[in-house]
Amino acid sequence: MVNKILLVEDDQVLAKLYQAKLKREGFEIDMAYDGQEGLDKMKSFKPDLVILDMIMPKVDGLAFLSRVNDDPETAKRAAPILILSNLGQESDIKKAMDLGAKDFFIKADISLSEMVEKVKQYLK
Amino acid sequence: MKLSYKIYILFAVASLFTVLSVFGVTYYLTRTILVSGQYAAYARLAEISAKRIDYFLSEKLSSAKVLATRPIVYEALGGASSARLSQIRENLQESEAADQHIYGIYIIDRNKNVVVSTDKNPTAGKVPDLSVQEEILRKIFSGETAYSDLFISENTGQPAMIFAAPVFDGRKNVLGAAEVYITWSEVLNILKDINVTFVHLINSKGLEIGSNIPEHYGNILKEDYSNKPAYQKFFADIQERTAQVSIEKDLHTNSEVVSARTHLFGSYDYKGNGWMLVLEEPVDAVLGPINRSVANISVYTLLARLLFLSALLWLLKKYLLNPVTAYSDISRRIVAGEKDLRIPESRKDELGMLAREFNSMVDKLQKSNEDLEIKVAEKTRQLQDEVLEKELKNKILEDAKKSTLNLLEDISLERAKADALVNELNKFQLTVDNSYEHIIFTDPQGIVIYANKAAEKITGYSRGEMIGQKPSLWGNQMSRKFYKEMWNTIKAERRTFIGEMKNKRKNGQFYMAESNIFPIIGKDGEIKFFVGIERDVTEERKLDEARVNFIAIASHQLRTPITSIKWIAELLLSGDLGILNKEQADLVGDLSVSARRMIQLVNSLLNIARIESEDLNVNSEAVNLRKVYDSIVREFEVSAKSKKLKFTFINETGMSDFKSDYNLFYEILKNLLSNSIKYTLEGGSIETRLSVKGDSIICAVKDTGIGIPKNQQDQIFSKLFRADNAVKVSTDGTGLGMYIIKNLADLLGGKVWFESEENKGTTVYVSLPLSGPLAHEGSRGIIDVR
Repeated sequence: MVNKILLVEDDQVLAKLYQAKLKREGFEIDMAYDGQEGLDKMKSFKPDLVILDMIMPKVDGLAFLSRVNDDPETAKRAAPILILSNLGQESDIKKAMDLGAKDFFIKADISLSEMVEKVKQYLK
Repeated sequence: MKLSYKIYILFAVASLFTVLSVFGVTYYLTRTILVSGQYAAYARLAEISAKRIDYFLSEKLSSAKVLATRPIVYEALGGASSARLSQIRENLQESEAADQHIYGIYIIDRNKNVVVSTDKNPTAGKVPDLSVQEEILRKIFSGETAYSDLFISENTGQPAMIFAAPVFDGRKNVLGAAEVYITWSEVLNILKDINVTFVHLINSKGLEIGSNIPEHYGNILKEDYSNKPAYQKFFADIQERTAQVSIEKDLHTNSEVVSARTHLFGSYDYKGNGWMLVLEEPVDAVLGPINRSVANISVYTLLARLLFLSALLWLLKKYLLNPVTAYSDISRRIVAGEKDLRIPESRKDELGMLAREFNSMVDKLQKSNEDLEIKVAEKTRQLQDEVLEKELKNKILEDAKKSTLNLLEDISLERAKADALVNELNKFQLTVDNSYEHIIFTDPQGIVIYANKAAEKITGYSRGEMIGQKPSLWGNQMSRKFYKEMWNTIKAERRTFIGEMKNKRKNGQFYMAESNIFPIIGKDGEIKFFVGIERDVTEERKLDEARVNFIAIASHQLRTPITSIKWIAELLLSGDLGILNKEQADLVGDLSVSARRMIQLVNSLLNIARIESEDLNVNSEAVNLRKVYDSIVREFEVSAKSKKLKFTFINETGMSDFKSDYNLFYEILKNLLSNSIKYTLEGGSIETRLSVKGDSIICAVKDTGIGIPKNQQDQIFSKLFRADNAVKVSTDGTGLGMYIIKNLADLLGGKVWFESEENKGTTVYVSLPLSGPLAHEGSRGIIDVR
């Protein structure tokens, strides 16, 4: 069965690159360009894993995480959420992990293939 | 206080005391007399009423005795014919009609048969009311008179009494009894006549046998008082011959009444039946009028006394105080100059004596005064002579004076100079007053004695509000330790204190002030006052902060597009999108390296922003020296190998761990090694040596690199500075490494220095305290620059 990954990322260029890499790896991908769209797709697309940006319009990463927790439907599915962000302050990382994110990566410090490794690791 | 006032007050107090006590005594005595008078009146009324009843009843006993002596009665008992008996009956009926209170006459023989009676329906021979008659006839037949208590007659159903007397023959033998039945109405009339609210006549068994209230007539011989506590009390004291009066509970309603009680002792042969008469009057009806009249009497006597006392006071003033006042008036006038005035000596009493003594004293005084005046006149003449002599001497002095005046002219010149100095001082004060910087002077205790206009503007308090207060009025926002240190510097060490402190304006707004505070020492070596000069640097600090934040935000934003470039290069190089030819692959490789360098630069800038914002986390933890070193060297493995560099690690400390912040120390050592690797040419060596000196650990990184030109060594810790030779050797430097090392070492409580010779090599030393850094809770950590 093909694994479904939801990308929640407002930067179009980065989103395109994620998509290109992950599709090539054989995943089914859906995109959300802001937090609100992401929350909607959590229900319609029903992803197996989520890659989430932190700074986004409408609903930001932290609010996204807490809404996912609050909604019984999405909370029950418990798809792993990985944060990929350029916000690197320790306080932000701690907040995200407290809200249930599985891991936190700084975009600038990680390569696409490293990212794919992590995704595969969390889908096992 | 005037004597007269004292007397008035004394008099008033004494009078008031007597008047009030007399008032109290009067009130009490008057009331007691009136009450006992009223009680006596009730006692008399009770006694008189009792006597009236007794007289009436003894009269009826007499009627029976008279009846017993009548010949017709004797005849009837002597066996008269029935015709004669009916004549006798008629005769007796006439006697009965003559007395309205008698309603039956019976003549009874020794066989206890009625011989003749006035009864309208005579039951032949049978004695009525047998139960009562039994006792009466027993007494009669033994030759005594007899009477009944009050009882209810069988024939009439009404209360009645029997009075009986024995009928004797010539030899004093008892032939029978002569009896009269009387009605009770007369006794009730007597009771009704008594002018009190309640009257009760009670028999020896405690049953009511009479009252002044017609409604109670039905209670006769039915109402039983024997169980009432009041009744029992009455009977206990009724043995007294006189009537008793006291306040008691009413026999019926339990309300309080004035009660007068007496026994009915009987009269002549009628010895009474052990009855008791009780008169009752409600307490208010008796004592109310008494209390009112007592109050009236007391008030009138009080007024009379007050009037009397006022009169007395007036007399006292007229005959005693007025003369004294007059005397003092006269003596005042004598003193004022009316020398011939004297007090009249006409009075014969002590005041007259006083007047005579006073007058003789005034006479003596006036005489001695006149003597004195003569002496003064003499003395004055002598003085005038002396003055003339002095005038001569003055002329001699005149010359001396002129020369003095010349001297004074010189002095006025000096004074002009002093004025000029004051002028200068005024200018100085003007300058201080209008200085842009906040200036205050305090006394040695820290009380503000001067503040300039800028101080008013910055703190928001007026000079009036500041002077007399301590500067804590607007300060007091820093830790206690800070102020302790400040006072120690300026007071104990007497040095200038320089520091930045947070203060609070009058409107509650906070501001940052750069302060210079120093003591002014007097010639005696004591501190005279403190001078505080402050500059409001709030805006500058805000700008600094804005700048740091700008760098942080800008750097974050920069990272995103660089990430895109890096990832695109990665995708292209991976061959996923088609294999690149060699030239393309080289260029995309360069692109990837450039992107990585840009990320390094941004990360370094971010670190600097974090260091400068003073918001970095500092921990104090065990740091393993070897582990840090190894993991850094592993990071640089590729470049180190390509340059064939030789690495040495020497630990002379004898410790595997030391106390510091792992991340920060890692960053310091990494920057040191990164610099050495970057600026050491192929085949060179890099030695890392750790040693202990004093209470510090020293980390020295020594390389055989290009060194730092002598003329640029003093700029090496500046931000973004790169030495000329460094720029030539490597384009891959940011000029931030040494700046970061220096700042991080500062944060850890340490120092950085170096020794360097161009083209020979450089040794950079970092010393850190063995006791570890002061831990600091910040919101950010350092970024590992890759």
